[in-house]
Amino acid sequence: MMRSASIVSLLLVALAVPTQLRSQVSVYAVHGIGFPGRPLSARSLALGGGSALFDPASAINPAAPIGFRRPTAMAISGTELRSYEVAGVAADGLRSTRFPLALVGGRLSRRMAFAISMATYAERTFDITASDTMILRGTAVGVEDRIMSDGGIADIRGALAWAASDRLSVGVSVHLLSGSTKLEVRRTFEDSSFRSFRQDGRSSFSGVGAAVGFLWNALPGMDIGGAVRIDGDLEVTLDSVQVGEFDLPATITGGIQLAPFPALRLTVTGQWRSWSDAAADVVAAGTTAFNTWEIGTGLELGGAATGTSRIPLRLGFRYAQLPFAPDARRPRELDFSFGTGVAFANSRGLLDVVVQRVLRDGTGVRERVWQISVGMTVRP
Amino acid sequence: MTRASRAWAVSLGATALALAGCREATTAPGACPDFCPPASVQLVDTVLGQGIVGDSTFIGFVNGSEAAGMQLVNDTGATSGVTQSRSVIRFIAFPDRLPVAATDTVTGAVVGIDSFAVTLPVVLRSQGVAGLELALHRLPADIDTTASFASLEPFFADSTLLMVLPIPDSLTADTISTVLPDSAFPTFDSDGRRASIGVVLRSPEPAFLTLGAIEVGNAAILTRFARVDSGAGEVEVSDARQPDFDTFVAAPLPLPAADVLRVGGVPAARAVLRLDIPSSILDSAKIVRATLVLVLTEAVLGAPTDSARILVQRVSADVGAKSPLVTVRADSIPFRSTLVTAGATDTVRIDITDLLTDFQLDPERPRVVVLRAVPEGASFVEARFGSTANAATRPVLHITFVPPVDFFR
Repeated sequence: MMRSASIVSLLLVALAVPTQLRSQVSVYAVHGIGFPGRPLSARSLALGGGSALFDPASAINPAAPIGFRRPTAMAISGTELRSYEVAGVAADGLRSTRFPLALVGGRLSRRMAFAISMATYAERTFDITASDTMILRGTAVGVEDRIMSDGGIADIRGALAWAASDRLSVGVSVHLLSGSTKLEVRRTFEDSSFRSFRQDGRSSFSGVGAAVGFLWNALPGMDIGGAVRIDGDLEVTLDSVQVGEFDLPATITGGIQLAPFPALRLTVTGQWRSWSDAAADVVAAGTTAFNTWEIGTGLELGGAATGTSRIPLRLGFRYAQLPFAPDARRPRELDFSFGTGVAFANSRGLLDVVVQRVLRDGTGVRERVWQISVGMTVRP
Repeated sequence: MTRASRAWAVSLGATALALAGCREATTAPGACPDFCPPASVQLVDTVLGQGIVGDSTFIGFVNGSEAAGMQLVNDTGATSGVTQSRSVIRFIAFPDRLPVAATDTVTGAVVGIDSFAVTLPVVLRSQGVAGLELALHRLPADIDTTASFASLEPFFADSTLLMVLPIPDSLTADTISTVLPDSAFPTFDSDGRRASIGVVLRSPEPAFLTLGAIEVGNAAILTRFARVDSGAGEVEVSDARQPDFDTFVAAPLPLPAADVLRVGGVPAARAVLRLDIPSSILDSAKIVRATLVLVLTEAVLGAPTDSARILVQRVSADVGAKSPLVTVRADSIPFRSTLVTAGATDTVRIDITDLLTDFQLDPERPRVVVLRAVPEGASFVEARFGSTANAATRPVLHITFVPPVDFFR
């Protein structure tokens, strides 16, 4: 019965995953290839991304799936409330829901594990309105533009991890980048003698990438991890015609996890991405691309796995630079997170919840986000 | 609560929480240009001076005898170009025998006529002009399409006047009737029991009035009140006839210069225009507004205060003057036409956005349009525009369009 409940719940969440929801993740999503996604589990999100390299349910380190003890399926849903101010324009009460990561994985043998995941690589959803007044045929005419993009780029990953020894694991992953966006531009005129304008399009994206990673239990209670990911060019087609290419970044990630006591985990992960490779591809659109640094750290107290308490307490902090901006000023993001989780059905089901407060600033923008994410894990 | 129940509760609660956020509120104001997408809408507003590459005028599409109405004009001041027009109505011949009773098919010979009645349908009149009168004249019974304003002049004399019929000032569209004595048509029998009348408008100031015509089933009616020999005596019987021919005539308007396009008038003139629109616009742009700009070479002719619509129509095949027109629904006419009033001198602008959109939908369609007046042939309103032969007054196209949006600039 309990297993059935977990499976039914996971299926219900999974059914929601393909739903195309219109959800602008950030005001910065209109630039470059969109707003980069974070392929992290709810637990890693709660830890500020500090545990991303060591978390088998996150799609960062191809060596991490070695941490799976049982077949596992996981999906995460995130709902956010957002507001922003920029150049005298204020927007409040923006609300959207995303399903940024779904993953299955498990052991293939005592020394080998796998993970297959689908995550958001970049979010290209926005729905922007703008009003203006133009002089047309000698008369001032009010116009209203609406530019919509609905979709994004998904990162489909297949990872294989191998335990070289009891203390060292390595992994490799291949990534298929695929996705599409439904595009729509409208202009309406206050003067009805001008017909409204509408143009639709559908863009598609494709690319490949690969990553290698390791996990090393350097000392008792201390793990070190690292991963390097190289992505190729992202081909962009608009209505079946190739219209551009974006150089995707190389990604280097390194981190450390300390467990000085069974009930306490401290994690830190840093990441560098060479987003400026795409600078030449986005400059025509008035966008500047930057290489980015980010560092996340988290603290976890308790949890079923530690044998100390059923309910863990997770705190996290993250600082990240954002890759795309309209000028040479580099925007940044601060992320404060709090989370917990509960195991049920004899630990075959996990429910993780995280609340994040995200502060984005730069290039004249002040963006504030409350984000609530729920992760559901089933280990039948 | 059992463990299984708790598991179900937790699972479904989590699912509900996950899906609860699906109500979206995402439309946000843009802070352009920094935080708007690069896919912006560019608007181009241009006047195509060479957008019309050929034009012609063809006259005679609708003659007065074919029109949906007969316009009577009285403008002795000649401010409109039309001084006076006259209506001519020839009624169908009456029979020499009539049924002696409405419920019987037995007929008897007509032995005498007591009187006649004429009913005239008024469909339009000048507004604000009081004291209108219709003068009815007797015309030769065999009058036909060869009648002209000049040839009819002798028949609109005092000697032929049958009746002067006052038009109530409150009447806008209705029928009016009058009774004529049996002597109104003294040669009625010798003319084969046919009668024709002429109608002329009298007014204290310039005015017009339009009578209905047989073309639209709203014609004049001549009623005969006769005595019939029933065999047992004379009975009074009446019968009525519609016209088999009606028209209206006026002195010809002065001819314009050869490089002028004419639209409207009587007989109706049409202008044919050949369009040449750059493929960069027709093939890929979205036309948000297109206007045909026509420069009047003189004030619009016509009855004082009268007006007509100048309608632009596409042709389904380009065969010159006889190019078949693509029908425009009656409720669409206001959107494809513009109203011109007699005496106006302003440049005429007609929205042709729909037409150009039609050309975009099917590039094989002939890029030829026809200008015609509505109503056609039933009004003296005539617009005279500069043609492509005159650089200063040639027609032009004013187009506002949006080039394709580059989503990935």
